[in-house]
Amino acid sequence: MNILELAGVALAALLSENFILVNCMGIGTRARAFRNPVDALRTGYCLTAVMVLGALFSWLADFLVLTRFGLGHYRLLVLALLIPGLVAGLRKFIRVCLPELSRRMDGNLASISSNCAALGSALLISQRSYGLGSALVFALCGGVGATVALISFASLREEVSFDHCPKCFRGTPILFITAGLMAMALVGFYGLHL
Amino acid sequence: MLGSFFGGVNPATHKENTRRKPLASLDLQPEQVVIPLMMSAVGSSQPMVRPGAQVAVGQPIAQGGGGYVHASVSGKVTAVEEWPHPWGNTGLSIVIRNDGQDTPWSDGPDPLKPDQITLEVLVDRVKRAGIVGMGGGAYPTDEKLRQAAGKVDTLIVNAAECEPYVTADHRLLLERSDRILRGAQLLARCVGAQRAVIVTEGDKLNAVEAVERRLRKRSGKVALRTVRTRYPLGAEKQIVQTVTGREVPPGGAPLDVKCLVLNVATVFAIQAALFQGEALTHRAVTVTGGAVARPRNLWVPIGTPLRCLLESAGGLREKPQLVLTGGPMMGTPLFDLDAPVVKNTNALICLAGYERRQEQPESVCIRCGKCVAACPMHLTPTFIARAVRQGDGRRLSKFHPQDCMECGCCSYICPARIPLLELVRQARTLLEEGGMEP
Amino acid sequence: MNSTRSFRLPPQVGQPSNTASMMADVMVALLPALAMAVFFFGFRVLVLTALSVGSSILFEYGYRRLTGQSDTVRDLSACVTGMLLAMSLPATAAYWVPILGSAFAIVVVKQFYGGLGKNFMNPALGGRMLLATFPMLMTTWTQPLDRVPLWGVDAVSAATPMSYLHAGTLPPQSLGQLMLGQQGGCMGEVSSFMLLLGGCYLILRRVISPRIPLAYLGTVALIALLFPGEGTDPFLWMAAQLLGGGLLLGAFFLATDPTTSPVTPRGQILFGVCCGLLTMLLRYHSSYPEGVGWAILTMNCCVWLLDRAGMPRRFGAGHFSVLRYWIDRIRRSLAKIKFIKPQIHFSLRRDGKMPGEAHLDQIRTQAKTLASLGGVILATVLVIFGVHRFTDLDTARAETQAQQKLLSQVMPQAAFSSEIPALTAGALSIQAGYSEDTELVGYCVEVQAQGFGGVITMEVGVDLDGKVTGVAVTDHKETVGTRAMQPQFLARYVGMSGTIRPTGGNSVDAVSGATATSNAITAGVNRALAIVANLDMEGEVEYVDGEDLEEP
Repeated sequence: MNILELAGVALAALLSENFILVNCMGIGTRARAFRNPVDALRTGYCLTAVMVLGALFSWLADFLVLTRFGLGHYRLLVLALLIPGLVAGLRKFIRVCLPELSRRMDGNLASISSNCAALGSALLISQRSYGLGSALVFALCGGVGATVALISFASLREEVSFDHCPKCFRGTPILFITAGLMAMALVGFYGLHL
Repeated sequence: MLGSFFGGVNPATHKENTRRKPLASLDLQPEQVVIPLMMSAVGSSQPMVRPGAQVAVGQPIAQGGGGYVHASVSGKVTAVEEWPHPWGNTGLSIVIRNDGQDTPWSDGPDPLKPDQITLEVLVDRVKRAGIVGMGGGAYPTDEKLRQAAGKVDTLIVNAAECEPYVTADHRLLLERSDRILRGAQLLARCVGAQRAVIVTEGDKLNAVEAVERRLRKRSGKVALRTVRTRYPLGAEKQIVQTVTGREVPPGGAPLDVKCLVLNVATVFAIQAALFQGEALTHRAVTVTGGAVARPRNLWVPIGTPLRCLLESAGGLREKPQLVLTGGPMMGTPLFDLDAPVVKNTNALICLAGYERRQEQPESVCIRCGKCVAACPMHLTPTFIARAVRQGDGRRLSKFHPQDCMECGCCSYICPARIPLLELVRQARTLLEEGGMEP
Repeated sequence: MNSTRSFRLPPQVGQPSNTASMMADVMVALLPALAMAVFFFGFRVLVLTALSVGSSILFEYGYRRLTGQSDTVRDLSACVTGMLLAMSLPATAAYWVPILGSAFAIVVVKQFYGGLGKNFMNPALGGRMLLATFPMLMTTWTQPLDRVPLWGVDAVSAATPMSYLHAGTLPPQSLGQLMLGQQGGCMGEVSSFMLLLGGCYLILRRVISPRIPLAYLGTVALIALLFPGEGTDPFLWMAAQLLGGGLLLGAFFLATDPTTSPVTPRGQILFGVCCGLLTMLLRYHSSYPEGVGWAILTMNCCVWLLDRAGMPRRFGAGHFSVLRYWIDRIRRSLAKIKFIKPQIHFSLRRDGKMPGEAHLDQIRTQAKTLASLGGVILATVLVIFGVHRFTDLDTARAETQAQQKLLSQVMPQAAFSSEIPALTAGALSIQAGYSEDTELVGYCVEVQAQGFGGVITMEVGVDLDGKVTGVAVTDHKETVGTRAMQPQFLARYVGMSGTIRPTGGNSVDAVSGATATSNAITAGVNRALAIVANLDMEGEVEYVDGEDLEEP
C-alpha cells in the first residue's frame, strides 16, 4: 500500500474519473441537490459516507466470501442487496440512536440508497481488485469529487441565469449542456497517472 | 503601525491651480450674510435675536439643538427666513446686513493661557464657540471631546485632504502651522492622549517641510505623518487604520479603538476659541474648477453667499456643467448660488464639461472586480448590486451593505458605468425596511 | 438616464475607461504576439485570425439578431474572443477550424447563458478545447520560420518544447530562442517576450489586476523548481516551463478574462494558485503535453465557489472572524447530536407469555414484503446458479481456448503453457511456454504500461535467448491510438531484444498518429524483456503438500 499508488487512486477518483462528470454515475440524487449549494454539500457528504461504508463492506464481502469460495458470479447480486441494505440499516441505526442527525440526513440517505455512485464504486473496486486501503481511498475521493462537482453545479445554477437561451433549450436541455461543458473541462485529465 | 488601508482609487487631483495660492479675504465684503440655523449634524438651533437687532462679530445669535451659532459680521439682522441651504433645499436662516465695520463682540470670553485649560474648560469653551466638525461631519466637537476624554491614546489631526480640487486645509496647515501645533498639543494633553499625529498627504511637500521645521523648533509630543495620496485617505476609519493600524469595528466609531480624529480646521478653530477667545465665524474655502476664471483659496465669514466667493475668484469664464460644494467625489450639487457658506463647506467647485467623464449608458457588469478591489470598507458592490436588482433580500444581509461609507470609489471605477453607490444605498434601505438583522 | 438625474448621483467624476476600451486594450496587447507569429509562420496567420474574428462577430451579430436581443458587437468582446481563439490554434489549422471553434464559443458557451458578463466558461478556451477533442487537429506543429503556405498544407509534425518537457528533458532551444519565439507551438504562444510585453501593457493600463498572473506563474515556477526533470538544472527547467507552451498566453489573457475569473481578491489568488497546481499536475502526469487550457477550464467551473470562499473579511471584524464563525456554528450544530442508547427488548416473552396473535398480525405485513423480496432473491440465485453450472464448463473451455489462442499469437513455437509461481514486480503473471516435447521454449509475461487513455495490458512472449516472439494486447482504454495495436505493427517487435529505443539502433518507430500508444507498447515490451532477463530461477518453492519441486 504505497503512498504513490494511493495518491494515484485518489487523483483518479477526484479528477480523471470523477463520478458525476466523467463516469456519469451518481446523478440520481434528489433534484434539490442540484439547485442549492448547501443541499448539494449535504447530499455530497451523505453520499461520501455511504460510498466509504459501502466500499468497506463490499470489499470485505468480496474478499472474505466471494473470492475465497469462488462465488464471483454472485457478485452483482450480493452488491445489489448489500448496499441498499447497508443504507437501510444505517438509517435505522441513526434514527434510533442519533435522532438529531437522522432529522438532517434521513432524506438524503433515502435518495442515496439506490444511487449508482455507491453501487458503482463497489463494483469498480472489485473489478479492479483494489486492496483495502486503495478501495477506501477510492471511495472517499470519489465521494469528495462528486461533492465538489455537485456544489460547483449548484452554485452555478444559483448564480448564472439559464433563461437566456433559445426557448427550446430552456429547462433541462441547458442544464445538460452546462453539465456537458463542465465534463468537457475534465477531458484533459483522462489518462492521468502518477 | 505602518500602513495603509485596502482599496481606494486615485483620481487626478487637479490641485495645481490652487495649491500655491495663499488664503486671502474676499475682494469685496458681502452685502449681507445668511447664517443658517442648521449647521450641525444633530439638529438646528433657535434664534436668539430678532430682526432689527444690532449684532457684532462673534456674538451668539442662536443656540439650542444645533449648538451655538454666532454672527460672522457686524451689522443689523434684517430677517429670519427660509433661505437656500447648501445641504439641499432650504433652511431657516438669519440674514444680517453687513455694515462693513467688523466690530468684535465685547462680551466675548477671555483668551486663556495653556496652564489654565483643563478638560472642563476646554469643552465649555468649544461649546460656547459653536465648533462642529469642519471636515464634513458637522458633529458637535464638544460632545466628541467629552466622550473621548480619558478613553483615547491617539489624537489624529486630519489634514489629509483626499478629495480632488480642494486645497483649503492644505493652505491652513501651511500658513497657520504654529497655532495648529499648539492646539494639537493642548488637545492631546486635555483628553489624555499619549500621542498626537498630524496626517497630511505626501504630495503636500512644502507643507510638510514647513511644519517639520516648526516641529523641530518646538518639542512636544506632536508627530507629523505623511501618507501617499489616495482617496479616501481622509475618511475617519481609513485614517485611523493608516496611523494606528487598528480597524474600527462595524457600526462603531474611532473612539472604539481609542482614537480621536479631528479635522485640522476644527483644531484651528478650537485653539482660536481658547487662546484668542474667538467663536467660529470664519473658515477657509477653495474656489476652483475648470469654469472658474481665477481659482483661489479664500478665508471667508460663515454665511457668505457662495455667489460672492465666485465673484472674488473672478467669476465664471464659461458655463459650468456642474456646480458643487465639497469635493467631486462626495460633494453635493448646488443649484442655487445664493446658498451660504456653512461651517463644513470646504470648497466650491464649478466643473466644466471636459472635466467630467463622458456620459454613457449603463452596460452589463463584466465582473471585472475593480469595485471590490477599490472598496475601502471591504464590501463587494457588484454582488450587492446584483442582489438588489434581483430583489433578493435574503442574500443581501450576508454582504452587509450597512458598512458602506458612501465614498463613491465603486461608482468612480466601474467601467460599465453602473450606479453602484446608488444601488448600495438602496440595499441599505431595503435591509432596514425589511427589518432584517444587519 | 436623463441628464438631470446624472447630476444628482455622486461621485461626479469617474475614471474614463469603459468596457469597449478595455477590450480594445486587450486586442492591442495581443498585437505584438500576432506580429511575431506572422513573422515566423507567414501570412496564413493573418488569414486565420481574420477568419476567426470575422466569424465571431458574425455569429454574435447573427445570434442576437435572430433572438431579437440588443446588438452587442460594439463592446468588442466578440473580437477579443476571435483573436484569442485564433492565437491558440496551430498555424497549420485548416480554414474551417476557427469557424467551428468560434461558432461553439460564441453561440453555446457565451450567448446561451446571456452574453457578455453572464457566461461561466471562457468562450475562447471553450472553443479551443472543443477543437482539442478532435483527434488529429491540434497536434501538428510546424517549425518556426517555416512559412506555412496559404493553401495545401501538409501536416509535418515537429516537436515543440512542451513535448520535450513532457518527456522529461530540456528542450533544445536556448532561453533566448524560447523568449523570442523560435519554437514550435500555437500561433500566439510562441513569442514569450511579446506576450510578456502585452501582459505588462494590460497591467499598466489597469485592465487586469496582477494577482491572477502572478499567482499562476508563481505557483508554476515554484513547482517547477521543486520538481525538475531528472538531471536538469532546476532554474533552467523552471525557465523552460514558464516560457514554453501556452502558459504566458493563458496566464495573462485567458485566465484573467473578467467574466470567468473570481471577483474578490482572495478568490483571484486562490484561482491563480489552483490553476498553477492543476497545470503542473497535467504537465507532469497526464497524456497531453500541455495542460494550461484544461486547468483554466476546470477552475472556471469552480469560480462561483471561489468567490464565496474568498469574500473579503468585514472591515473591523477580526482576521479570522469568518473562520471562527463557521467553526462555532459547526460546533454548535454537532453538539446537538446526542447518542441515545438503544433499548433492545427481547419481545419474545412479554409479561411471561408467548406473543399472541396480535403480534403475528403485526409481522404479517412485514412478512409479505420480505417474502416477496426473498422470493425474488431466491429465484435470482437459482437462475445464476443454474446458468453458472450450465456454462461453467463452457466458460472454462472458452478460457482455455482463449489462452491457447493468445499463446499461439505470442509464442507460436510453444504448444502449451503453465503459470510459474515466480514473484516479480512489474509482471501480472508469468507463464512458461513448453514445446510439444515438454521442452521449455520461453516465457510469456503479462505486463501493463500507461497508455494515452489508461492502462494497456499486454502479453509478451520472450524466448530463452531474450528475443521477443510475439506481442498481444489483451486490455486497453485507448480511444485514439488503436492503430498501433494492429497485428502488422505488433509484428515489428518480433526478434528484438535488449532495450528497445524509440529512435536509433535497436528501435521500433512509433506509429504516426498513435505516438503515445506505441511508446506504451514499447515500454511494456522493454519491461517484459527486463523481467525475463532477471528472472530468478534459483529459488525454491514450497508447496502445500510438502513436495519440493525444483525449477527446470
